[in-house]
Amino acid sequence: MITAHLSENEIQLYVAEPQAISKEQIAHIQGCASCRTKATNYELLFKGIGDVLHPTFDFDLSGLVLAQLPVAVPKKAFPWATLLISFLSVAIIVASICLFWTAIQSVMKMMPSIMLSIAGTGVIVILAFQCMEMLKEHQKRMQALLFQKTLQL
Amino acid sequence: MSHANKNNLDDHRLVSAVLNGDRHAFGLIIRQTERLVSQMTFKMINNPGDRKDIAQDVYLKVFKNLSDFQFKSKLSTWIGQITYNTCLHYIEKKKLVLLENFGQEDDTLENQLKSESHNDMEEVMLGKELANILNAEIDLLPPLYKTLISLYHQEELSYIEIAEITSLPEGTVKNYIFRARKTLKESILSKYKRNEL
Repeated sequence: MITAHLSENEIQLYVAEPQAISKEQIAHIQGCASCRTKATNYELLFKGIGDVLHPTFDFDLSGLVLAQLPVAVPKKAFPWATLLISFLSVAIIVASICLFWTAIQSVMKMMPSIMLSIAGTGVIVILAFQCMEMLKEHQKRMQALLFQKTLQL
Repeated sequence: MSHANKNNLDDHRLVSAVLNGDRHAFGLIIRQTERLVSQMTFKMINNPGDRKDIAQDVYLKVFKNLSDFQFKSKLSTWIGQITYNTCLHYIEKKKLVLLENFGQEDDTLENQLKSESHNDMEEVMLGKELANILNAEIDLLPPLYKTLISLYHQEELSYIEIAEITSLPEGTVKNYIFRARKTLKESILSKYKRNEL
């Protein structure tokens, strides 16, 4: 059995979350008058806090708020910026392909077919990895932004 | 169906009703979460007039940002976060203190109370109205301690939910709650037992 008295935190845990302390600590409290008194005091304190009257507003909050609500229903803003950036990116890629099409064609003709398929697979794998990374990063940023926004509210 | 799932379904139902223009659904959200908002507002804001403005401000923000709510927590937890941040903003604006150097180890008091005799707290409670004593003593705690104690003991929120609401690490929440309870116990025993009983 533990002979040293338990700390205030451990005694609080014994009262509020007995599953969070060890059997030895529980045995000590049960056998130690001083720790048991402290535990009883905390038990009474916790019960007392739980029984304290709950504060209530002396006005009709729901009525006051509903009277001030804007007429328009809150809607998510359409992501114009994202759409514009996506469109521009696709346009740049397509324009590049068109511009360098003859060069791309001649390179492809000169390359042996095995090299072409290796290069193609490599490009697809790299693109897939990049897309996954971008998606993860995007999700992380959106979460951080939402968290930040909630903090600012 | 588990309680958490049912809550989540209710939240989904209520939020989509509000987003479809049903104002009564928003009234229901207010009535369901008013207890939490009033608890936090009373604990963090001393001026009754300001509490009224803050409570209204909280729900107007909730309405405005409801379409951004992503159901990653309970709706009440999200509204609790908005309430906490609105109160925090008020405290900062008024240059008030959320948590002064309070409830640190006080050796003198600690030594005085080392000899807690049998059922000290019970004696205090027999001599005075416990609810009045506790109300008065809780009021003397810093706003953050008051809020955490009330959220844990009166609203029966978990440490994780309180951590989500206050954006404090879970360990810090636990530590503050432990300190607040210890401070509360010591101040009750030192004031009411030794001086007045």
